[in-house]
Amino acid sequence: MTDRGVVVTGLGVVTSIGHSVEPFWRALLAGAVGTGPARTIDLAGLRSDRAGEVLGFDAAPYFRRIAIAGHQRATRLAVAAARMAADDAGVALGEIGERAGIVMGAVVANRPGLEAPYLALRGGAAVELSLDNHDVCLIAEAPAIELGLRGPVLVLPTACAAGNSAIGCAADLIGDGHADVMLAGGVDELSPAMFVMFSQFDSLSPDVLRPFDRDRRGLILSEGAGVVVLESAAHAEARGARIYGRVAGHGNNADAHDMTHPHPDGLGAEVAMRAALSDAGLAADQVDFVCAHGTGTPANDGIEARAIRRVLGDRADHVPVTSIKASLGHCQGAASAIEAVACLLAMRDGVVPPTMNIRTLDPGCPIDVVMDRPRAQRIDVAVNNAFGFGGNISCVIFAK
Amino acid sequence: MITGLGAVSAYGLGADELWRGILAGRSCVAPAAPALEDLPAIPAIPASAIAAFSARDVLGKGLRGVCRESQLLLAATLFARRDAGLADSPVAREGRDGVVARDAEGVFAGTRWAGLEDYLHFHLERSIWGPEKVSPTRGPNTGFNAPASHVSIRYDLQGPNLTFASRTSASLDAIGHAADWIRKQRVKIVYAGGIESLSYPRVRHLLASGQPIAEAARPFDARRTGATPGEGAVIVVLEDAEHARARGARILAEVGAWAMAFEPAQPDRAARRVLRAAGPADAIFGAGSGDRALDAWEAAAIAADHAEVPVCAVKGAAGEWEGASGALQVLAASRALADGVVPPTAGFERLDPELPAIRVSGAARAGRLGSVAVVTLHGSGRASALALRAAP
Repeated sequence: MTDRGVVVTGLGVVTSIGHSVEPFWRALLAGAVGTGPARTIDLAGLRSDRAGEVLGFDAAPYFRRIAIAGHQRATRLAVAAARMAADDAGVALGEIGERAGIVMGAVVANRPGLEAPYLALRGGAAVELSLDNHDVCLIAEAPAIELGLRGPVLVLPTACAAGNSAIGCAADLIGDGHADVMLAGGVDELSPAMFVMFSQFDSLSPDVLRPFDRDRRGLILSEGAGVVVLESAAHAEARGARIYGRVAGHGNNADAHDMTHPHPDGLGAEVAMRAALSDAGLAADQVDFVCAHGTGTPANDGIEARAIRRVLGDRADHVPVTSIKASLGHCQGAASAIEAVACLLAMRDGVVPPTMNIRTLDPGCPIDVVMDRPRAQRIDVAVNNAFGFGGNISCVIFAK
Repeated sequence: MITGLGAVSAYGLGADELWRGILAGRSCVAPAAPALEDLPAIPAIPASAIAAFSARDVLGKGLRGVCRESQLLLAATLFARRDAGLADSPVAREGRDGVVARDAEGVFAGTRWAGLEDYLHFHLERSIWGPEKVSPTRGPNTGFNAPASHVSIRYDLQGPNLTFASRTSASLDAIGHAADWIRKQRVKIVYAGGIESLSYPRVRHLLASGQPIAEAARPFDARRTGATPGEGAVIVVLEDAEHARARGARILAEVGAWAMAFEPAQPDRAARRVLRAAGPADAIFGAGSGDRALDAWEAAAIAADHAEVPVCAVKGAAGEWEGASGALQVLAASRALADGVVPPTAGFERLDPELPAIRVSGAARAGRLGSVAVVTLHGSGRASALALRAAP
């Protein structure tokens, strides 16, 4: 996709099943499920009381240069994941500040904190309603200040495709010569309003998230953050960095169909997967693993599975597909960024994490879903799918 | 190449109305008081607001569930397509056997606050009426990406679809990145621009943060007291050069280098970096808004390397459009290149003696322009620049 090539040299995550990369990965392979009855948010009156919460996590230790006070939850999670990824990469970001930047994705980040004050305002209270701490830009700017990044600092709020969009954009910025090192990922927090919306659409699962299950009932909303460090191959090699893999290519398309329903033929999904393969200069028969969007909603999973099958052809019978949303719930703008981290770790360790919670695989999902237990598998090429409301679709391909 | 422009603004419908207002140095400021159901009224503030916009008249049917911000961006897209001569051209779609929808057109939009008012309204409705009685079409409008998504749905644009939220640089970044996509031959046409509305939470924020709100913006002028909030939607048609030539499109300008910088606590340094990266310019379409600090940072940056270059601050007439500002500036810069004139900076009479010498003028300056630089700047330390050249 670029003359110089873009590689991944650092990973960071904050999730409900692990507050940093290795605990997250071990829990994922062990089949942990991080969703359950919500404890930090009131979901009374909705179709489900389930959420994927990050409990007992303290972001303060990751704020080493800037003050944490006043920052909303999404900004805090973003700084933590970005700091982790930067530490993992071991790159001296401050020294190359003008050539280093960050692109972050989100859906509702920093907005939920406005819900209570606005209710108070309606109740007649005199409340200050400055948006200073609620600007979504802070999910990129706060990590940038913390880490000394002075190049491109962007935010792509492209619904639930945001994490992948950010990674694709950041890789392009390196390829186009705007920077040598870019952090990229996504973050989101729990929003009562989003629970209401999915409850209205009858898209919340009452118990657990069951991707590709015949009787799947819907998703579970979650919070978290995922960040990867991208570098030009030349920059990474010159400093002898450990390389997890490369961003081989990406595709971004719109379904151009409906604000909430996916295209019935999965047109955007298919086009984006093919565009990503084309961008990567790879053929469909080189794909070793698909990290699915797999939301557990009746609408998504069948359409996605059939789109994957059209792209992979009969190889879909034995190319492993997994949705880690069974374990994490749907982390919204962070989802595909965390899934990107899973792709890179799967590549590193030669193992596909399992899709939990499936009781009966939907015969309308004609793909090879890795159920219950991890599967040992050499992975040279991984496809990471992300689809969002509004028909925003982003597909990223990682390769060895 | 830039082959079409579309806008909805306080000046009216279309790019021409907006450009004529800017060229005349005319402002459309009037008292505005955005309201939100069941919340206390806000005292009216001076603003460049879109007073009358009938989406139905402009766009026709099929607008149920399309929020106002999205309607405004839809209208700007429609006008831009017409301006580019694309309104009736078919959008190529390839079906399930297609390799890649190579000819599908894309949408890149910048915004700072899109969806926020709908988000809060949705939340409040839930609290008042209960979760089952909230308007079900409001939910999807609560996201930043709703305007760009609605554009893709209405005009069947299956190409890349991205939304940027980088403060007052958002729509300039959208345009800059879209041009990079076209240069890589991934897409032939992208509708790139921005949308910002004068929403209830945005105005409450302006009042709560104590920012002075000026009736006349007066960028760089000694008497400036603050920015004047504005709203609008702008779409710029970016098109692959060969594609534009092949269909005989009129070319308004060519897009050059795009640069971003982030210098917390040193916005002047950020602006200087991106201006240098944009290269030599015959005019600068600046971020100057009448804000005392912002204008001082920008003036310092311009004076450092571009002291002799004429500067035009379109926010003097049109107001501060936040996420849509960059696209507003690009619209003016494109017309300036095509028409050979640097518009006046409305409200400017005399350079603030506390600022370094830069060439701002309250009058229009005619003359051929070879290249211009568009600059966005925010007090957070964020700056972007985009170079534009006259049509080859």
